[in-house]
Amino acid sequence: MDGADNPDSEFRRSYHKTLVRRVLFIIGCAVLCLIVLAYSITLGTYPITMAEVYKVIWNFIINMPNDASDQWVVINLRMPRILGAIVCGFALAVCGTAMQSILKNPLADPYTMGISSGAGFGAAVALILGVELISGGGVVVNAFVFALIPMAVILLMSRVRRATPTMMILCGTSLMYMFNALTQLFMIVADPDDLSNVYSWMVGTLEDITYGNLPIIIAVTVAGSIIVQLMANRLNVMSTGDESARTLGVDVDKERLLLLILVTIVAATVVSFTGVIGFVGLVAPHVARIIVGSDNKYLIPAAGTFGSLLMLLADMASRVLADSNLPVGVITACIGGPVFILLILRSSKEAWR
Amino acid sequence: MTELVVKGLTFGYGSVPLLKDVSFTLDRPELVCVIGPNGVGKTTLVKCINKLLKLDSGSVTLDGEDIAGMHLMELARRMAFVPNRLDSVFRTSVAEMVLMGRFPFAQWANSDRDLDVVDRAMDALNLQPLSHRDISELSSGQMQKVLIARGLAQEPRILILDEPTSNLDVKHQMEVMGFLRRYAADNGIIVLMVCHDLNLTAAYADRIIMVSDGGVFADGSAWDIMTESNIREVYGVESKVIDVEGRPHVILLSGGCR
Repeated sequence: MDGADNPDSEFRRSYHKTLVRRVLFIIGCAVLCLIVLAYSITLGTYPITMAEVYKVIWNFIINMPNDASDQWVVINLRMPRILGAIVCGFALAVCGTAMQSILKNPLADPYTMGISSGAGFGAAVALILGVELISGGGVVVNAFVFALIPMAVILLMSRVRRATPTMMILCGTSLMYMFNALTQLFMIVADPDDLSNVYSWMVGTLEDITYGNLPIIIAVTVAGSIIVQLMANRLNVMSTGDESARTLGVDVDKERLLLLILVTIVAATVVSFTGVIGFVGLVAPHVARIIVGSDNKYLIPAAGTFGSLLMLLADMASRVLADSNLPVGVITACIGGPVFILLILRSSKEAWR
Repeated sequence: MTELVVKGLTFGYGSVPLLKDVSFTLDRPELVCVIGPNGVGKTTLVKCINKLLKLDSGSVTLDGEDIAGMHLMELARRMAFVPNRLDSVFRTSVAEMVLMGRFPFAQWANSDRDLDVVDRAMDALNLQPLSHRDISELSSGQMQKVLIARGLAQEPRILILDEPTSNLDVKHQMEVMGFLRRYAADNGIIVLMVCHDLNLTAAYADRIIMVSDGGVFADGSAWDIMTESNIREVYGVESKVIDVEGRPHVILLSGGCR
């Protein structure tokens, strides 16, 4: 037991060394987000130049008059969608990260846990059958409520017997299949107009984000992310296994459910406004994991900012590639998939086993 | 001095109890080894003591407080458990893993003192050179040392280990056993470990609890426990116990397996 209090020990160096890379990644993603935001806001079919866009924003900020339609397009059409991309990307990535650590499964994300499909089914019920759970609540309320169903089933299951993480994820995944199948069934009987609505919902879109619903999404995302961030060490401990976590003082069975409920609510809120945007919740945590490692204290903000960046890029691509509406969910999966596989192949160390 | 009292501990995975009415008291800073044949419930016993398993009846009290009513966090601050192995799905460095031992004390940020404690634990087990290595790249022996270091980082009053030497080579086995005995004495803590190796136990344990047939068969010092008749009775093998450097040493007789 010698060498104590040595500020230059291998352990200390290892502890501080990784810190720099982690912080750089988070800052880098945040800066890139700002750059993409600044560029993305100038893109679109409405004839307005880059300089004019910034002038409109500046005038808007300092409360000077703008051309009404210019301002409408930039501030009311483009801006909420871009802000939505940032917030939703962040939220989905944080949820995915937390779910992976809670369930000790690299495949866990809002999609594989059935949350997104539940929301999709809820939306289909509203759009095709015209059934609203709360009258006037429309698609959003339906989607939100149905998105919570997988979690409710898991809770019920854990009342009957001790639910292991594997059981939970299998339960979520089977509900995902069930919801998808039922949605397909509805789509067969749907009339063409409803069908295209359901369809665009099923692949996810940021178009429906307005200043009306953005505050809710932001509030839930910020609150959820802060709580998850405060739980970061707990997530680290939980990801080492149930017994190990218990002996370190974490009541795993109880806290796993509480944390799952929390992230489910955050993910459900996001997907009930955007529709099923797959992949961000799965890919962003893994890319961040490759670069910053698995310490949730850094992984959560890293995955979050990377998720924002991914969504921003996907949203930008969807607006550049097609002037009609190419849903952002299609882009995230089409670009994200191959890039992800490439990253897995190229990463020198395994980020998971 | 911390006192751990196990009283009438009974536990079974099914309806048949595996452990019946096990009782003993640990109240001295020493290395206590639990030995016994396979499947007799040694690991189950220590898991009952640290609340990983719920007792069917009986009680485990720590300084007069029944652990059944204790919060896991409260227990983790006083009692550390070193599992035999650990499967981590995600990448974790040795430094991060050992640092997790501070979790019961620092759920959010790690203080300088936390880092000091971890630093010392890493020194004690010569893990410093492995600090930034990923735990998936370690040999099982190295991994066991990492887990022991994590247990030390908890600064427990009672350190419980489940076969901590099973994957170590002879030199490291002796190092770890010697270290644990010294650690117990130097820090005034109770070290309770499950061990499979009779001679390692005989050479290092301050006290041996021999478990057989669901209960404590014998409990005492190495010379009391490591007798030819005890070994015949519990393990069903013939042996010869000799004196090596003042400690009993068991020589198993190859013709002696009944």
